[in-house]
Amino acid sequence: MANWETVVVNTDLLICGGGFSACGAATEASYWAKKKGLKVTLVDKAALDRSGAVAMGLSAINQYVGLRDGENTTDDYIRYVRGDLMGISREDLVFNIARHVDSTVHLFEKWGLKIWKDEAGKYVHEGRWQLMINGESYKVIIAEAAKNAIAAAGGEIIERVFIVDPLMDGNKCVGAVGFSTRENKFYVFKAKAVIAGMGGAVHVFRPRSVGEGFGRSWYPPFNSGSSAYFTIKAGAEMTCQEVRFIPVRFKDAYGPVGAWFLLFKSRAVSATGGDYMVVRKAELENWKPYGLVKPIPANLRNYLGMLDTELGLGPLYMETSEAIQNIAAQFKDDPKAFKKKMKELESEAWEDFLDMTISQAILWAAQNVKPEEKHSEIAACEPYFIGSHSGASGAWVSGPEDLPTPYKWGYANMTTAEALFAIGDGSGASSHKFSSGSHAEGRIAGKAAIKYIVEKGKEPKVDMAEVEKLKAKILLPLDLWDKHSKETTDVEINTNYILPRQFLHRLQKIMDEYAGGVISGFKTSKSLCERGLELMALLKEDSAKMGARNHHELMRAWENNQRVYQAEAHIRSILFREETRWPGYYFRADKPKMDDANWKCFVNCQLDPKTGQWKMMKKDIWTMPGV
Amino acid sequence: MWTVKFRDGSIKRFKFPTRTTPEGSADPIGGYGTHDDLNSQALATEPASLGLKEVPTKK
Repeated sequence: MANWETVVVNTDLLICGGGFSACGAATEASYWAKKKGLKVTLVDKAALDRSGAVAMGLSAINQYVGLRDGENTTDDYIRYVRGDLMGISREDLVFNIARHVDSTVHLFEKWGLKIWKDEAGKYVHEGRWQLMINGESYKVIIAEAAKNAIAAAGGEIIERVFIVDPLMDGNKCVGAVGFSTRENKFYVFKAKAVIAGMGGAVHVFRPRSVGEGFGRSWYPPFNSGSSAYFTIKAGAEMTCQEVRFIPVRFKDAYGPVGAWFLLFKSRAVSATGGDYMVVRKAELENWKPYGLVKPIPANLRNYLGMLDTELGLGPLYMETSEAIQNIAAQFKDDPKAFKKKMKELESEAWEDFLDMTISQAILWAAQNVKPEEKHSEIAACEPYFIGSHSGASGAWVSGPEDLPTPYKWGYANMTTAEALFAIGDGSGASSHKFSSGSHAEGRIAGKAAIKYIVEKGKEPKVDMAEVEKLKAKILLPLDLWDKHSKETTDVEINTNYILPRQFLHRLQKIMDEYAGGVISGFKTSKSLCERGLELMALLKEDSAKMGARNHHELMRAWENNQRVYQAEAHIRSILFREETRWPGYYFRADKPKMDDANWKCFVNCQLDPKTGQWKMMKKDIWTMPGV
Repeated sequence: MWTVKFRDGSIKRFKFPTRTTPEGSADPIGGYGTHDDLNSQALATEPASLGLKEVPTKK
């Protein structure tokens, strides 16, 4: 075995992950931990300042309810999420996040985030729930508050350590193992409670932007299903694993469309000039009652556009120049004011990308696109697993104690594995949290986890013999490389190992072709899923044979393993749910209609850690009384 | 300052604010009043940081 030092870290609360939800958890947990003399340890596989899905920044805050000004109510938000997810949401969790998210946003502003304000000093809304921000340094600011909180409480932040597996004592999570991405160190974390906030999963499917899609961010290529893997391996119940999210974005570089649709009120049209949202409107009747809610659910908006592109009516264009001209038109009789307004709009348009998806700005420059002169293509991207956005996948977690929800078992955001909490993209059925809601959810779990430790925390019992086995398994890719790489004339072609990049291509191909990826027009079926699982079984055998040349590639190997678990949970859940509920995200070609009578429910699943068998189950939807 | 150089040689420059506070200065409690009830639904800085009299609940 590769001769790596084993570093043991003892702590009270282990926060796995360093993104927005983990920073929320760290900020809140540190406050309570300090009062109770407890230690908080946060572990990030990267550097906290610029890690996670918000590494490069964002242009907007997508969840702000506006309770203090009476703009909206928490009930409004519950209804919004219920509609957008075609009836499938944990209304207790959505309520819990919605009642706390505004304080997260106000804290962000105190910490230094610049939120756009109008002349009256009120937040500028991009849309009903969305605020515009100067967000290039969004993550830096939020990480700073978390760092300061942890430091004030005598906690620690460990960067560049990649968490792999949970440590379990029966059904209780007692820590985690991982490795340094820089040094020859294997880490063993022992804790009284663990929070899984390691993001969602991208690159499970082949990206539409092949090649280019490996590098650009938003959505971050470095989110590999770490949270899902962790909670699945812990034996925790998972939810909504069939609910992937496909964003429609500016084509190829995936720039955000929110500001264009909501703020600039732009139209999107097909090559024949038709606005698919108008031309295809009748289709919404087939998806009642959700097809008739406002706003139209995200998957249905996708679907209407797909109806055009499938008939060869693409490209789809965002009419940016028309939108800008319309806004500036009010100043057309005053050339000076007109010129000023145009300059302002141009600046807002470019900031939208530069704050968040720089690759789109690069693409515009590379194609000589000036949005005030020329339109730009939009297209559906590929499927992601992002429970914080318009997806819903994640662990099944306990709701808040003060609600009459049937789904609570003691501590908010605890999974069905004791002492293991899940937040952000790691926590399911609580869609439309985005950055602010994920941070709020982190804060909720941070407090709950400290409460759990105070009331029930025990010294973690870790079997170090099992840990040694895990260490050997985790470092094996390095050994395979060392042992076999000289046996052929090309290190990338070897019968004894497969390199992580090659493994990833195989996984993405299986998902793309069988589980409803881009190449399949997001269509799948029982037969396709079953064939996909056959090929996945072979891939899983080969997952024990990845080779890695260095620390970075070792991380890539384990990211792949994490993606495989997400992929399998996804296929099994698509198979189990015998209907099509989210056209525009995926279609069961063999069950093309929605079946509320039988399937207006959650699809949950659980992997038995001892037997390796998956259990699939339905869970009832609970709706908030009176909402 | 962002500098965008186009294929056709034209150049645009943009400057956007990045933060309103000095680097390093983020106060985790944001200057809000705090409490020490570990059992309540109120997070550390709430209800003050919500701008409300109390944390919403459902009866």
